[in-house]
Amino acid sequence: MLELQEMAARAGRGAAGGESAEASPGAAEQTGGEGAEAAIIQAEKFSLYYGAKAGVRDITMDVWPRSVTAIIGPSGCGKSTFLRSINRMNDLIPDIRAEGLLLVGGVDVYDPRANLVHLRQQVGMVFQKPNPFPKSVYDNVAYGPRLQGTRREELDGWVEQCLRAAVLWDEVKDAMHRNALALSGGQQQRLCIARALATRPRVLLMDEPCSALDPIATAKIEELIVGLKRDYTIVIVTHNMQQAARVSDRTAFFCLGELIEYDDTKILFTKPSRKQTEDYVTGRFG
Amino acid sequence: MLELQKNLEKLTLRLERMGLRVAEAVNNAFDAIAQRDVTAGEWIDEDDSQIDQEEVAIEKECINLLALYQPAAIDLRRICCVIKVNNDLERIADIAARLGRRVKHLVAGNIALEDYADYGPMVHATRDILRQTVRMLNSADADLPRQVIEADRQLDAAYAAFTREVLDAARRSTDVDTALTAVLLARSLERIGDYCTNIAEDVFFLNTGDIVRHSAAFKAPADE
Repeated sequence: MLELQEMAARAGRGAAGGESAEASPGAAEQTGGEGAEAAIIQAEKFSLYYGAKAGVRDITMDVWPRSVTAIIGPSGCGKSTFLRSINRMNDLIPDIRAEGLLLVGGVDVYDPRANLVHLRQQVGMVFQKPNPFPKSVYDNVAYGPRLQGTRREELDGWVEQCLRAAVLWDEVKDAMHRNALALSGGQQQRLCIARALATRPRVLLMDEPCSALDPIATAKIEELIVGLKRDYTIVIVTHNMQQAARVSDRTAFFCLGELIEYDDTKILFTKPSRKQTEDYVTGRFG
Repeated sequence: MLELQKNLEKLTLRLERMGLRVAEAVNNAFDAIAQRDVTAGEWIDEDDSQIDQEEVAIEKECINLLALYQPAAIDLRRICCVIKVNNDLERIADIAARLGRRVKHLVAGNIALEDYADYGPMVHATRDILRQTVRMLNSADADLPRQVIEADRQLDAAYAAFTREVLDAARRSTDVDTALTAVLLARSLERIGDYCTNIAEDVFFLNTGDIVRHSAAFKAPADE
């Protein structure tokens, strides 16, 4: 309960908790849509180079809190590069160079003084293939909070809340100490989402989170994404345009490293303003 | 070309053929009325069932394309447009069939619509709007929807003039049957104009993505 009170306070609500704070861990943003509050992710002429080659070039876009933003585009267009720039996952690649501004919560991600541990706690990530640790279900979720110093007596409740938020609790509550690798692919991916939520991030990055899943598991993850946006900002890269259309509020179309169009998802998929976007979403190229 | 685009081209052609067939049915009805040809009027009624079947076939094709390809943007708008236009064309065909059935009544009652001076212009306006509507179905000319809307205004004006003439004549005689028949027939033609306006709005949506139904913003150039 302590966590809920803390979360409610962070979210600017009373300790009794609003519906969002009660429903899911880690709520951090003020309620409100575009225009009601500042963007949580702001890119201003942001470019990222691999050596001399630009992975993305001059990206200017804002991502609003408590929304789902989809990034679509043909292979090699820079959508994953941009996604991975947000929590500096690209740092693992040698010879990368960033230009322009990329802010998360008003903090410059590429500031040399940036605290990467804090950044990655704030910006969680879910990958294409489920990658649970070869540990128990419980330990997967508890791993991050333990490192953060969460007290043992609070841990059980927190793990449960994270698994509930990831809509996995009912399926694993009687097998918490079973090896996570024994779960199905869809369950493993939801476990990875629960693990990401456990460090109380503000933003969740998802890089094709359903591409390795069957349609039923995909539907569950999509439903989960829509539910999570009450409390989190989600940025998802997907090759599945129907999925982008179903789950996201806004969609960005990237091509050859550039942001071509960024608009409300409903507009982008029904009457995009750029010919290139129209050709892509109608399958005429890409 | 992608399979979806090929299928959409076929679908557009099929809708255009449906439009031609419907316009022909209405024109045949006018001819049957003019020539007092009861048999020709009955044929139009019989042809209507084939148009009904074609309407169902086009709708099924649209549903198949939606289910199989999950289209977006212009492709999605095209299928939505076809579904709606297809429906309106079928309703115009129903009016043609009704006109065909009415020939028998006109002959039996010895009712000569040509005696009204404003009947000819109204028929002409109806033929004109149908011709423009069919042309619009497979044309890239973005101005055609507005032209159809304007043609409907002309048809409305012709309808109003004809109705006035019929009512004036009715006041001078006791022939209520003729006046009623003439007004009902004119009302059918006015409805054809309304359906053509619907189709123009749907084609406008196809071209622009904007829904202009019930919108004052979508005006004919003459009104701007």
